Amino acid sequence: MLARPDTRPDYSNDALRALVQPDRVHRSLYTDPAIFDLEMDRVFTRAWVYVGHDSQVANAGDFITTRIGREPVIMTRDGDGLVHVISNRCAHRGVAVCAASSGNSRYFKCPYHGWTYRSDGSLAALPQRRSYPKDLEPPPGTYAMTPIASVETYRGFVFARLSADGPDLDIYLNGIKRSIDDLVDRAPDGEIALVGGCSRYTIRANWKLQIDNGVDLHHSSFTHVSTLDENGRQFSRHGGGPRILIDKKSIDWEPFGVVGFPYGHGYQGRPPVETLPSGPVYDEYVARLVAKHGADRTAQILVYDRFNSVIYPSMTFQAFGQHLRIVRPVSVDRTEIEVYPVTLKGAPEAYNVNAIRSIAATHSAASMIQTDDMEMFERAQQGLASQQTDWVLFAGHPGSEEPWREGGWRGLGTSEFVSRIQYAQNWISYMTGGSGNEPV
Amino acid sequence: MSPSELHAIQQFLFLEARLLDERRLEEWAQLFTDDGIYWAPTDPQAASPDTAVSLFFDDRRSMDARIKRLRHPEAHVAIPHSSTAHMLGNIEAETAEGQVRARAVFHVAEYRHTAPRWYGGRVEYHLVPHGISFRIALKKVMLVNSTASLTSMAFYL
Repeated sequence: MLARPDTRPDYSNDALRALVQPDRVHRSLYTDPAIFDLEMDRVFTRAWVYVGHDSQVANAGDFITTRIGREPVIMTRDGDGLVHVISNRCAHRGVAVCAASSGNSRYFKCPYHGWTYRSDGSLAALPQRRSYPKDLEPPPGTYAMTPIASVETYRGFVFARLSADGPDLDIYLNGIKRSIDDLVDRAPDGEIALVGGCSRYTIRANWKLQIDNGVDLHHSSFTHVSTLDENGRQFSRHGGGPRILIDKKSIDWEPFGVVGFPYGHGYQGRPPVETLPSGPVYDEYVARLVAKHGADRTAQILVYDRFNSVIYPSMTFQAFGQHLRIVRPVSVDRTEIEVYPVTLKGAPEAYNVNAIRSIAATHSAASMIQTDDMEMFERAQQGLASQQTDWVLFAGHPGSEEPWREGGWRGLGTSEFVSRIQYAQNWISYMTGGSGNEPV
Repeated sequence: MSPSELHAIQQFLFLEARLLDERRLEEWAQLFTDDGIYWAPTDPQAASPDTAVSLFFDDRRSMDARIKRLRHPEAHVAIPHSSTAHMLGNIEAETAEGQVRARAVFHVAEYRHTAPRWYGGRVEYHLVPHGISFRIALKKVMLVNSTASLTSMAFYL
């Protein structure tokens, strides 16, 4: 991939390495537009980025438009059922061919001069072709809505990488695949669908603040204190939400743990939920799981041992909470997040409706929980303007993490080691030309 | 509908807006019926909050939880809290099945810090007669930019 010509060569690799220390990162990672430009060129081109779920393009001709870093793309399904990710850019004058966020069409016709493309991006028609010189007739595929170099799918989750080079998706995801399994296996039919719409929120803050937060249990005792009842319990759509304060003091988060994996992924252990769901809808849901998988397997499926999972650098999701989020950087101090409720195929309709409805309470731009996090991210962006100190600390529980049975490492609940690894191993590797997972 | 009936409906809608702007949220919630709903869909075509996510979907219970939270001394997103001014226009009303269906367009000016924010759209009310006034069975708020990526909101439209 060619370097962007307007990339400013302000940062040598040595200069970048100086910004990341074992227990801290320089504030410029959150505030310098030049760093943001480099991230778009180096992290979001070399990492596998989650594009969408194949249920969003269930039928031949279905498409959604989105972005991978700065790259405008369309995810499509062709007449043979294959999923493609192609650049949303006409080969002629560069016009974004498709303006709709989703739809169904056999062809994409550029509104400017009528160049027309198939679902796989190949050119189907070029009006006034005879007016073009013969030698414009290209080798096959040259004039196309360019297919993105690498596209792979895991259990319906479609990932793409702008760079052709790098590890296979399987190696990239490694241990975090078990979190995807944890989500998909909860569907009695073994499949999920993203068919409940999308809630979008914007933070006037750097994208990494949302990612940092995804592996941070401890903040709940402070950030979310206004969402707790008189017994210190957070409200929950399932009832019996996690108890976060006892006698107005933070609970001990350490036993719940955080887990980190190669390539920067991780998850938070289960929060302190004392009572699991109950009631006729839940009972019916469990009965359907048992009917499909038997009691023993159902018991395994329903084990709740992880709260929020992060797939670095751009996605977070909750299996039990039944939603996933895409983190889309816009500029150094602006980020858009998309929240999708997850429908479990084969579950009672009321169970899935509950997941759709609860987004308004938990994660919409007007919700009662996410707005507290958004406020923290924006205040961080404001505070990081200070020039009195250069460093952002991730120093909690140094060296306490231990090898974990799923691969990677597990640390105490308030350990900040997952963020430490993300910066000191993954972020710096991408930024200095590595594959994303060498210690530097 | 007579001019005086329409006038009474308008006065009620202005009261509803003023209670929000004066942050008399507990009194505002009392304007709703026991099974009243405040709904702001994300998808303007959504027929129900069950098929697509909503920006807001409050029954009286979640209204009470939201208001209690907004009053909490550590509700960070409400420190400082938003000041709002609701403006209603193009009010139309008709009677159907013992209820009043009112439609209007709204503008809300909001300021918390940094810069003021502006919201606009259409709003529908299902009102049931209550003494000499009304109660709200449904307030459905349809932002013109409901599908956009929105910054945090800790106030009712």
